[in-house]
Amino acid sequence: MQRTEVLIIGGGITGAGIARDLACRGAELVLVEASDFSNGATGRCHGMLHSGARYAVNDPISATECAAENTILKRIANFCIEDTGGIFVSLKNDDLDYADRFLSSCKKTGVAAKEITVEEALKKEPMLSKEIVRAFEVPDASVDPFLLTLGNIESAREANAIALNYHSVREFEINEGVIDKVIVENLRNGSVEIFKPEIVVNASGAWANKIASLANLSIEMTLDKGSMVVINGRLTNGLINRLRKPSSGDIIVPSYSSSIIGTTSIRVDSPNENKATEEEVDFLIRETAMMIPDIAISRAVRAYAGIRPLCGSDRSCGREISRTFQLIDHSEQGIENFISVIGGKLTTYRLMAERVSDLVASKLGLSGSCKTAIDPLLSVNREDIHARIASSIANRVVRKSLLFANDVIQRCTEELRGMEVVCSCEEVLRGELSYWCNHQDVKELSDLMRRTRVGMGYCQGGLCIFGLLSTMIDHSDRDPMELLVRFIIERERGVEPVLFRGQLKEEFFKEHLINGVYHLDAYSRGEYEKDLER
Amino acid sequence: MRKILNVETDILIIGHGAAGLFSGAVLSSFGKQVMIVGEGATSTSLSTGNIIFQRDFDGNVEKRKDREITISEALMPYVFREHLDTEFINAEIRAMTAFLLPRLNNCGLVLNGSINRNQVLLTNTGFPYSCTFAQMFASKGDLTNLSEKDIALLGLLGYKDFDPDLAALLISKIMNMKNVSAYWTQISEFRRRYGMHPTEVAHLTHNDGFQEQLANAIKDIDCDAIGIPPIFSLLDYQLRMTELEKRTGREIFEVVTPLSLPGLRFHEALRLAARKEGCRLSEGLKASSLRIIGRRAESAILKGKFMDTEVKFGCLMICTGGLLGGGLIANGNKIADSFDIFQVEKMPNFTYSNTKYGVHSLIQMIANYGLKADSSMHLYLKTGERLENVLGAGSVLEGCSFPAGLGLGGALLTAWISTKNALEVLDQ
Repeated sequence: MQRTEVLIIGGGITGAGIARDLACRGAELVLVEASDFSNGATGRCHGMLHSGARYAVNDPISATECAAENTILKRIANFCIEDTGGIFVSLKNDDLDYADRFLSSCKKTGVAAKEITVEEALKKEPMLSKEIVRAFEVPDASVDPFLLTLGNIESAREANAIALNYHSVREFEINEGVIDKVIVENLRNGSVEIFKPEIVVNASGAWANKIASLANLSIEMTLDKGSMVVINGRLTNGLINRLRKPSSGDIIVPSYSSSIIGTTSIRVDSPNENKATEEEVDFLIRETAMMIPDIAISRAVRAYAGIRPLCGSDRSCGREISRTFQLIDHSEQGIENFISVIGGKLTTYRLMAERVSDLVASKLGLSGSCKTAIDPLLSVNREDIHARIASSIANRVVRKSLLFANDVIQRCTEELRGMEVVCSCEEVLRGELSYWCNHQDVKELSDLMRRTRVGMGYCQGGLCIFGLLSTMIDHSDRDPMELLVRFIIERERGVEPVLFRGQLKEEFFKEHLINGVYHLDAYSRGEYEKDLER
Repeated sequence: MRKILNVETDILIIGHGAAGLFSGAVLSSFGKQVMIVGEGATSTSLSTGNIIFQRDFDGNVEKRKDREITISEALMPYVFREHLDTEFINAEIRAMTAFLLPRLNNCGLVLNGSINRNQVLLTNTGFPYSCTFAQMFASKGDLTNLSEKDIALLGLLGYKDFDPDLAALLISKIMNMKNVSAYWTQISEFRRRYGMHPTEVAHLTHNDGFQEQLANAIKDIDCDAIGIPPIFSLLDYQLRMTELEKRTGREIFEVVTPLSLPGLRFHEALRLAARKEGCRLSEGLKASSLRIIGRRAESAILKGKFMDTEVKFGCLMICTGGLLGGGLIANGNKIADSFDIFQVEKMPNFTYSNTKYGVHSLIQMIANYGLKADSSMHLYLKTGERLENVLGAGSVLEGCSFPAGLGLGGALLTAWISTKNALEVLDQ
């Protein structure tokens, strides 16, 4: 049994943000995550750092929050943010009054929006449709949600927090209105660990109700699925937004070597219904192609969906619900030391974390104040690294390596095959993979993917998968075929809805490799799939 | 107005993959005038070079690993459904192999062993039981006796496609062979970071320094049999391997790696065979339209870079394959639309979203689309009419496309049977 002051449930961006904030205030804490960090809605979002403009007209609270956080995050987390800027565009048949309301609302909410001429817009974004009639510049940016989450986790660990992935909460032991013990299963080896926290924070996003139900509570919330499609190639320089009342298929975000288009809004009943459908893909391509016509002829590489945990449970459409967040102190419902947090956005995670931490700190009687808006998330001495390795490699590796840049570079330069490029789509070095394979958090091949971007490129793991596997087995005793099948099944979920035109051909070739050379036919896969279900 | 060149031939074959080249070789050997046209890469060259004759009707590769399967149990592509006479099919397979093998031998390839699957061949990380005889083309010979020897797998740093550690681990796991060990060596000319392209490597193999480095590395290994990645090109493959064996005194064999594309070697061998038989091979021409009078096709217009060619023929064979050619239809989109005058069989009530299959099974299902033909391989027009002198062969036919159909096995077998019918058509 382990005593701790705070137990945080959920390793998404909210949980990670709270962990960092509280740890920096000096709280003793443990964070548990049932899967890998950022594997829920955090890792399945658009990767958009909102300027607030999208919500300015209809959801001013969210807009104000986003505008303030946008500036803060660009300052404290620049390692994972690409400050691309964004443009809102009105098309010919759009409601033109909306554009004026948009501009005045932006002023009121503190969003820095500025109208530019159509010519200027086309100069900035040559791929834009010639049909646009008005354009506004905003400080939107593209953010890597995986790195942002891991950055918060590592920052928290630096302040002595304990963060555990693959630890699933099984049970609460409640004694006279207080959660006395939390029983957690370690999914790596099936062992059971017991924590005795003073306060439990439920930051499990879409799973918040499931966790609350362990304490016989229920939270009023709505689960809303948003799907996105990854388009091959970077078609825009910055973010492109459709200037209209927020609806589906409005946004194009450039991210690494691809463009991500989205989103949809569909009410779902369970957090596990996170699969994008073919209809959604068709819809998104059709809608966004009105802004960037080339999307219609580009290859759709992958589709994915995240579940937004929205506040409230009224039966209106998901788009109508405010994107702000809600803090629930369950002491009113009879559990003294239990707090839940739902809603919010990736952009406002820090603010949410600050509010939660304020509440927790007041309950614990901690005196430290919040420093997350001032202190940069990670501080690495880059000069030392640049002296040891070519800067083109160093920039890319250091950006991804959080606090470990020195160790990662050491692996790359000292290991026999450390400088080999394993994944040529994302230029991932074998040394990087080798470092992360030995990291305590990594269990599956897809964990490596979140940390290094291996297999996320336009071949979707088709060619690098064997190099990835061969690195992994150097450092692990696991059955390589099982690892391979798990990875392929995970990648396939996202490829299935985009199985047409270019990607279909691509998958045919992969089929040759995987089914032909490796003989992973339906039968042997079936055997593993059965194992996975168990 | 583009210039049009007029050509006349007995047989025009569209498609230069396994089915096209093999049909061309067979027909030429009967003294017919054959013209083969094709464009771009073929599925054959991208394939694993596996020639499999045993697949069931669901498109699954034979399910039981432990059982030896004889040809008499072989299952045929969809087009043979009407005469499911295994005796007939077996006889055809034997006749076909008898024709094919000597011609491939002439191209510098050796086949050892009979056509059954119960043979052991070490491949990189592949399941050895799945490797049938075509993969042996890529290697030296019969490796059945390897299980008693000490085997070493030698990786070359920079040749990223072959990782002996992973291969040795999987082979020991899957085949229960404990006698496989892994070694690495560095060839000084090899670029390490981005790796070497196979053609660059093949080019380097002519270099004396390279051969010496490789031979020295092999001599350092204390094992009888040593597997190296497929680095030699088709043309001097045998020579180099023999030389290496002489220098080192070891038994050397090649392993098949994921991207070494053993299919490319097979494709090259077939191409040389077709050329030797006297086929006229025009690569870079794309068929654009057909002139059909009544129930006979008279000529085809082929588009080239600078001028078009109109080819008059007695018989037309369409061998454009399922992957890159005109046969594949998926989600209602035709990938290439050269042949949309032909009838395409569609699967009833087929949608992706409500299926429980993964992507790869889905592809298997999609691949079932193809041109409609009867058991004599004659193609049908969209209007439902059967064309007298247009035949299909290979994966372009319904149900033959890899992986739902038979892959190379199906392509060769349908081509073999198609050529017989083509000869009949010409005699009429």
